[in-house]
Amino acid sequence: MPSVTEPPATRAEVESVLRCAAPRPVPLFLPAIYEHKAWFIGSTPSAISRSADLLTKAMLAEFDAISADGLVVGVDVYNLEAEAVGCKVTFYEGDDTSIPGIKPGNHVVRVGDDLSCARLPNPLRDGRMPVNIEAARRVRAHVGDDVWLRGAVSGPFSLAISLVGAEALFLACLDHPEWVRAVLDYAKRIIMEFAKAYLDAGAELIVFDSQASPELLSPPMYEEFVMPVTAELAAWAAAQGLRDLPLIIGGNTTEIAGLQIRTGCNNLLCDFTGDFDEWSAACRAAGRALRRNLSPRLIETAMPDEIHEVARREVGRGRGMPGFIMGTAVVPFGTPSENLLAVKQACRNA
Amino acid sequence: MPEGKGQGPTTRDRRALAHQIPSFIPVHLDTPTHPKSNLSSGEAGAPGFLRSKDSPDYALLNQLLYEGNAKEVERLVREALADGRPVDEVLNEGLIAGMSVVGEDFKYNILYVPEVLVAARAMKTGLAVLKPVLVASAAENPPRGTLVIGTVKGDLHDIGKNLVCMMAEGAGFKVIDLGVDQTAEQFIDAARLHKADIVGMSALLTTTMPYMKVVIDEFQKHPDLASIKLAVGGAPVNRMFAEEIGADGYGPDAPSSVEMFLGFVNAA
Ligand code: B12
Repeated sequence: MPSVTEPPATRAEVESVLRCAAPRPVPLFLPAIYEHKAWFIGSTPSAISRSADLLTKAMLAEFDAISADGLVVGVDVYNLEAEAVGCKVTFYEGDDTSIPGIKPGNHVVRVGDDLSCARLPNPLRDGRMPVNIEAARRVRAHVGDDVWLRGAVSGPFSLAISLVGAEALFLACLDHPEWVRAVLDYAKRIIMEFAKAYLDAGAELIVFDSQASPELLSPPMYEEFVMPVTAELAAWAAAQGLRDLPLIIGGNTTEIAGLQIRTGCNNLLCDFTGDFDEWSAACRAAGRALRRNLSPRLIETAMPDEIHEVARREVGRGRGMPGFIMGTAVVPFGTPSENLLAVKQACRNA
Repeated sequence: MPEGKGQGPTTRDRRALAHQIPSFIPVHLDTPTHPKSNLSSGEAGAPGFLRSKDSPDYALLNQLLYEGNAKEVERLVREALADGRPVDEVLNEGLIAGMSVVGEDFKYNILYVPEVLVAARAMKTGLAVLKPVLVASAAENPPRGTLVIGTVKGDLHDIGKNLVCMMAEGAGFKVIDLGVDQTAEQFIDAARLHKADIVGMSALLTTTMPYMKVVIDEFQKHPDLASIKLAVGGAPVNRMFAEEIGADGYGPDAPSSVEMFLGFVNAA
């Protein structure tokens, strides 16, 4: 497999894909690298997620090794907002490469709580938000203005799960729908605080809301609860001058493709279990960019040739589609770089 | 994406139908045998649980459980006992049968996690009514087996595992839920302490799946644990992987997992 050394797409090139201009001969390559960043500097997810120095080093090492068409600031992408308002995150010490997370039970909001005056975080002070903000600032200074750099924020529903706990929130969706709307609004306000700080640091945004996936929540519930608050978030981001907002929901989300389009977010994800044909038809009609992912198991364990083959097939399916982007999966920690470069090569060979 | 969930040619059809036809077609709130007042209010003086002398209305109980109507489930379970129905009949035909339809519909994306959770809550309410009677008759109705279950080390996902717990409990198993981030040692200690028949491991990350093999290898070092069945599950796991690591079984979703557990204990 030849190594791929071309520089990443410029912001203008990225923009033309996101705005669904004519299909790009070489699709954008946007791998999903979060906890795996640590691997590029021989560190662990827990260590880099707590140090702006290490996170910056890891991101720059990722940039050197993969040179993808965009970078994301974030490791354990679902935890920072909840942690900043009091949820306890479990970290792993020494050479344990497990990924930090909020253990079930460590939640700070109870169903029924009055959230109208609930605390909002200060992103320059609370939890690890300052780590990400500082890393965003430093990486931006290093890579310049032409690289698509995005700060990871939680989507409102995923943040609400972190705040309340999964089962309690799911039951509340049926028992106390009004309160669920209030907690989602609170989640949105928290996210906006974090997002503002990213924007001030020179990064754009990427929203992760996999817990609103139909693996968990029914499409009517997505429409009732999640779509409106996500649309509000997207409208707010647009009012801040942000023209592109990726919304990432993993799992088979084919059933909520249309609803995600209605949020106003302009680049969406069709995970490897999703129906690419349905997704691409919906995105074509609506003028939305679409990233296609592969299986994490394939990315982690297959040989580069096999990964290249599978990726080439997917790139072939996206050929001719304005806004088509090739992705990976959330790259498992320790995945060899050749495996990621095989996907990049498949884009070049398209 | 668990294998089987949302797959197969019938999925889409079933989902489309689900909007038009309730899963329990025979039971409807406005049918002559089930006057609306009986269901919607549950006020005193409503007809008793027995539809006729020999035909208890388990279909109604199933339907209410499916809808997650805990109050009505509790009322009907009480009435069934008051009407002299055997406790194991109420448990099996009233609650477990209802929950198994919930499981099936979850498997085919007709129900989603929130609906399963309300149904499970209704089931728990019904079980709480039965519990004293079940305990009193424990000698005749021992649990179907003991399941020790947890999410493996480094993995904090527990939504799917919790559904497996609920449905296994619903099927009559004693369930010891260890929670998340569990080491091999913790699985082994709990298996010994609770005299487990089955140990279940859940993993949602490709990076934590291999730890299931670590647990299985550890179990295999201890001859006193040899009779315990080791089951694995979680979205990235599949049958082939389960076989590769020497597990005794793999469950793609909660209902199939419970069937597998029943197979284990029935074969023992
Ligand atoms: C909810 C969720 C979370 C929540 C978990 C909350 C909770 N309390 O569980 C949180 C936010 C904590 C989370 C964190 C992370 N997650 Co997550 N998460 C999910 C999500 C959205 C849903 C999983 C789920 O609950 N499915 C629904 C249940 C019902 O299905 P299930 O678990 O498969 O269970 C069924 C069967 O598998 C089976 N079963 C399950 N267990 C068992 C056990 C036995 C013994 C048996 C027989 C059967 C069985 O029966 C169940 C019921 O039918 C998935 C994506 C998706 N859409 O599926 C990602 C996903 C699993 N997460 C992923 C990732 C990457 C992460 C993070 C690493 C993200 C990050 N960088 O921080 C962290 C890891 C934290 C950690 N250390 O564990 C990836 C995994 C990719 C990979 N490499 O494998 C996924 C696939 C998202 C994606 N598309 O990229 N996540």
